[in-house]
Amino acid sequence: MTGVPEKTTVQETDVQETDVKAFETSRDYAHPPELMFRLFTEPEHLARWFGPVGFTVEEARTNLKTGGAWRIVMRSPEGNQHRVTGVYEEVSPPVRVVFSWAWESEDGSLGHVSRVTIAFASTDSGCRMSLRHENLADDEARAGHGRGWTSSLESIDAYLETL
Amino acid sequence: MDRLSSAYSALADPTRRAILADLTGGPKSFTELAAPYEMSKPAVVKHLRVLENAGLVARDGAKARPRYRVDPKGFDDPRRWIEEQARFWAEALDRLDAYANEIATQKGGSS
Repeated sequence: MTGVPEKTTVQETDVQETDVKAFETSRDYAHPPELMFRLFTEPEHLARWFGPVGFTVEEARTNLKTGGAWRIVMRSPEGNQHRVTGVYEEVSPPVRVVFSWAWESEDGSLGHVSRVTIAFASTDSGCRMSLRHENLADDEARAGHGRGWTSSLESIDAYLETL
Repeated sequence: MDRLSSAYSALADPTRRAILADLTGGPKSFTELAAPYEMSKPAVVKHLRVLENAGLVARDGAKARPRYRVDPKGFDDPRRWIEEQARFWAEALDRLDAYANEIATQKGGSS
């Protein structure tokens, strides 16, 4: 026995609801970063958990290298297909993976492009995963840069909260 | 370009973010808005047009002397997008918790 605890501790998510630029959350796992990194990046594992409750993954593909594409096809409980795809921008197992993210519409065209960063830090009991899902303007999404433009939006976010 | 992408494109420019930040203090005339910038008036007009087209800024008052203000409605789409992604991840990560424990238990049992 390796003595893996049966329960994973979930630190409740810190959702920035009024923020217009990014969603951030973190969770603690009683598992090493190596395992969690694989669950986030390997198709056979993604197929088992990716998507909201009741969704099934019909197809998962990952070309896990910088510039490699990924695509996941899901089916909702109502029977609708949902497809999401992107390109890996950084693949640094087991510490960090960064990829673009866009929902595919019926005709195959891509919706708004965003970026997901998932990072793992070792902890005494396993690891802490931090997830950031940020928006990109179209031109930045194409250019594949733009880290940072979001930071000066804080004052606007604060203002919107007061309305 | 869809509305959401227009909004994020509009927000991607530092001058336009500065204009938005200025407007959070309250509505301003074009002259008041343009004063802090060294760029030409047509350049300011162009930025305002991008913000208006993205639905982030609205115009009140007479056509010849408009006053510009932040339009909160323009931020609804970006905000909704974030909320939808937040829901997606919250549910997926709950499923991942269960799956990770299952996998770890299997590994633990087989070693």
